[in-house]
Amino acid sequence: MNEPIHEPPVAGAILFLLAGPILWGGHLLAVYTFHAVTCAVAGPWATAVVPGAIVAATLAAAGALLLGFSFPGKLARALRCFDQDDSQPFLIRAGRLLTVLSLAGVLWTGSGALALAPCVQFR
Amino acid sequence: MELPNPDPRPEGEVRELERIWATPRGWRLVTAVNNTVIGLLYIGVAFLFFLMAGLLAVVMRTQLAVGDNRLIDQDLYNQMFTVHGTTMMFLFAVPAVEALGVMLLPQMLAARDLPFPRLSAFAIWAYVVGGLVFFSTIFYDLAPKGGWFMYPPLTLMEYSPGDNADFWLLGIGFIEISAIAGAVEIVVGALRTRPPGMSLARMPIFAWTMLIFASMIMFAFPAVILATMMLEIERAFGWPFFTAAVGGDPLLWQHLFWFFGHPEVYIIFLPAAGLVSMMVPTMARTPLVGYHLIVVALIGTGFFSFGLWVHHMFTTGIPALSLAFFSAASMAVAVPSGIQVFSWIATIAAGRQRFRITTASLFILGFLFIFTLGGLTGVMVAMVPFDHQVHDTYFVVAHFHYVLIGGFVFPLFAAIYYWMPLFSRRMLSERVGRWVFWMMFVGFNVTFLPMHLTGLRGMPRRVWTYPGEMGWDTLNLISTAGTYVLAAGILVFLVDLAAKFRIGNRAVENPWGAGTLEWLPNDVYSTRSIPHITSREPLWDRPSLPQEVRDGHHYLPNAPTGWRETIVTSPIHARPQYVIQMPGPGWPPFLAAVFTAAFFLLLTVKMVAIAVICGVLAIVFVLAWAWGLDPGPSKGMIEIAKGVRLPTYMSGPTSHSWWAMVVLMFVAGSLYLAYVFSYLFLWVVSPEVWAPAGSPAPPPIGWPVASAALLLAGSGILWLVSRKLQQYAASRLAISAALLLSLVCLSAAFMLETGGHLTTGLDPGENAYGAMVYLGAVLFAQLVLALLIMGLFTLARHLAGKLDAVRRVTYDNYALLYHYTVAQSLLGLGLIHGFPRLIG
Ligand code: HEM
Ligand SMILES: [Cu+2]
Repeated sequence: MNEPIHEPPVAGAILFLLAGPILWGGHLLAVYTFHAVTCAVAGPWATAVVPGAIVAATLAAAGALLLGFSFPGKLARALRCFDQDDSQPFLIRAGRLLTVLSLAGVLWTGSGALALAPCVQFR
Repeated sequence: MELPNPDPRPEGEVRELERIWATPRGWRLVTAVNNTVIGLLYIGVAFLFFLMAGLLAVVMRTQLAVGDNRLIDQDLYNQMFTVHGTTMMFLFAVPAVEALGVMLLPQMLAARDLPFPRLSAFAIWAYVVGGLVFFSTIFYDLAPKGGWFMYPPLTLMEYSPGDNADFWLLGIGFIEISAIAGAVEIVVGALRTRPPGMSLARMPIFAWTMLIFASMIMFAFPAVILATMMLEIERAFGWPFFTAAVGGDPLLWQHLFWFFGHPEVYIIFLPAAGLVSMMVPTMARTPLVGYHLIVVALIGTGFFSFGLWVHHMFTTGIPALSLAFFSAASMAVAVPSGIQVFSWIATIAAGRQRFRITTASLFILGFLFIFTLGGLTGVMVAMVPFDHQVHDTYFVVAHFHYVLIGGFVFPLFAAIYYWMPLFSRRMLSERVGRWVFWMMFVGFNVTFLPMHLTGLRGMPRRVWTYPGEMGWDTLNLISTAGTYVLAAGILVFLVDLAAKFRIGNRAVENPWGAGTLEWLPNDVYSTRSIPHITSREPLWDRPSLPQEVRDGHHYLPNAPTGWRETIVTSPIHARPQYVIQMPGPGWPPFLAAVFTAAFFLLLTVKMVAIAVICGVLAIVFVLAWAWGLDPGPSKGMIEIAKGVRLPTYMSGPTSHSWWAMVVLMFVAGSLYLAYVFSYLFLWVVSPEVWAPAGSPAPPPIGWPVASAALLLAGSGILWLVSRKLQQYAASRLAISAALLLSLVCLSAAFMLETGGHLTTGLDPGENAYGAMVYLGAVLFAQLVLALLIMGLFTLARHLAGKLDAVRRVTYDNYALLYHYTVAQSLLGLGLIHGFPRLIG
């Protein structure tokens, strides 16, 4: 049927809003899976690779979040949800705040690798 | 602002609206579908479950009052805490939230109803029947005993013989499906039935929380549905998903359960926080401070809550570093919750007038106090070493009652006092309300504060009694006394409710002087006309709005199609797009729900033949109901405001049914991802049973390739049909043949996939690998069955002349699910046939 109204696709807006949390989730999933599987199957050399890999993944995720925080307009255009309407400042503000929250979460998660020995249970 | 309909309205429009939206009378009341009617039933039944599960709690507390008590025996106690916990979580909290959504959301959005009224009716009746039967098992010694999280191996057949556990698995699994149906309704409702002008940035916070609530259900519930399926299959047919000796793992259950179970507590809490965010500004008589921050906090909490589930498994022997990830996430999630608490306090402080103290505000203050304490003990148990000390003790029982009762029951009571005038001719008594609040508040703290200490002194949870000399008596006695005070408070509330509650239109229009749309003049048809929105508190910013709305000066002041309808707007800016023609009262949703419930319950007690009959009847009624949908564009364009004409029918990606289908595809997708996770998880745990070394190797590559080719062919055929429908050039015969052919492709692909594994001699009962492979086939089979029904239904519509280039919703739904199934199955073929080759 004819479509009377045009506005940017809602999927883009949702992705934009959730970009920070999605990165946070991806980071958690990546470090957890990597850690669990490496410790389960890799044997002794797991101890050598785990901390470095986790720190690297954390820095990468943090960098991506900082990019998203600094250039929200670019991100919005890339996700095709940029328009001049009244909701735009709202989306941008909310999205940026969410990247800040996610950044805190990512750093918090990754910092464990600096303090704890990998692959042991403290019991 | 210029009014959408400035001219005086003709006589008789209101009477017409009243006739169209009239509630059916007498025994036909069960056929009602309007949100205010079924919403009331929904919340009433949910509250009934709260009372019944609360009664069980009183009995349990009486049993625990003194040591060595013999009031009830161990077996009954086990059933009681299981039914109490399960009922509170699945039959009270989640349904109560959905009920509030069904009742309040359309009012807050000034929509005439939610977009799928019959779907809500179906979900509600299924829940009522299924829930009541589940609860009644406690009276026949048939209730489950495994605790509300039903961990295997305790719940496997060897250790839990009888049907008790099956009542949990089938009963609750089925209630979850009803919750998902409600979630579909709420997502589409919040995004598409907002009043013109209510952009996302102007949406009431409660609508935000309901949107987040429903999205969380979409991604969390599938994990536990898969887990319940697996456990039920293991109990019934012996496929060893959770039996460690042959490659299964009980921890898999814990992962799946808590991937649902942790978000579940936020699924309960966020909407409650949304209610508070609606009430606080009214009582403080000032707009909410930090609207943006609250929205961000809600989204953040909802999202982060999916990354915390392992904190329920701190003591299961997972490496410490992994625990640290989840410990960090658990503490990080406290940040957004803190943001909300500070926003509310700031709003209370910001009001130029004093914060108004009503019963509702008392419950809100009580909530702030109790929930904050629960949050603090939450941060404590998020620390791994501390959790090792208090895991499975009464400290945990105290913690989660602080967050659940503080974070949900208190806001719920506040909401009942606050919104009662919308549904009852008389308000509840403010004077009695003070008594109710103080008795509940004191009773609650006297019950649960001492439990922190009983827990620190080592009393485990889930014990039916304890020796008198442990030093736990006094604390337990205090707890029990508190429970009686709490119960008395609730009793006083019930008495007041019985005295005051009378269904009907409100006496006072806007008793609290609130600013949001649910306080507009209302009747069975909701508001007379649907307002144009320019701010977040329209009633404060435009005092003339109620009168304008009542006089029909806003959108859709009448019923131009002569039947139930509401406006659909665009998801971001809420610009009017089209008008939905909605179904009215009818028997099919009610009967379909009753037979669906019967199907699951009869399966539980292994009366398979009658169960199957009921299942078929349920499908028949669903089809009868679906036949009446998709009316087509026969009503043409209508005028909803001066110079604004909208179509009365929509198909394709903008239509509400397309959106519902996409939501369902997300649900199916998360179910499947949970399956992929389980497959890989069991491989990590027990690579020794995996093919090709530990089990028969998968069939030759020709099998999956042929299966994949058939699937792709089916998708291609539907793509062609879609184009033909558009041109409307094809003959009836060609389209019928193509539809049938797509079904043949699908069925053949399924048979090839299953047949291939059968030829290798792989046995699902042998080890976890076989069980996982055949579980993939089971998931495939479910979709095939659904598609067979939908495909034949589409064919029937086509033959009856109810399908064409425009009127094509039935076909679109079938095609969408078909393409989804193809994508999922291709992924599945890759996993099942590729992975063993990869590792082999
Ligand atoms: C009305 C006041 C309530 C009282 C007096 C109460 C009391 C209790 C008691 C005595 C137990 C059993 C403890 C044990 O033996 O381990 C329990 C367990 C539980 N309660 Fe409550 N409760 C109340 C309300 C609620 C509410 C409103 C919810 C949820 C919304 C809830 C959720 C649970 C859960 C999930 C369990 C755990 C069951 C299990 O161990 O499997 N309770 N409660
Ligand atoms: Cu949790």
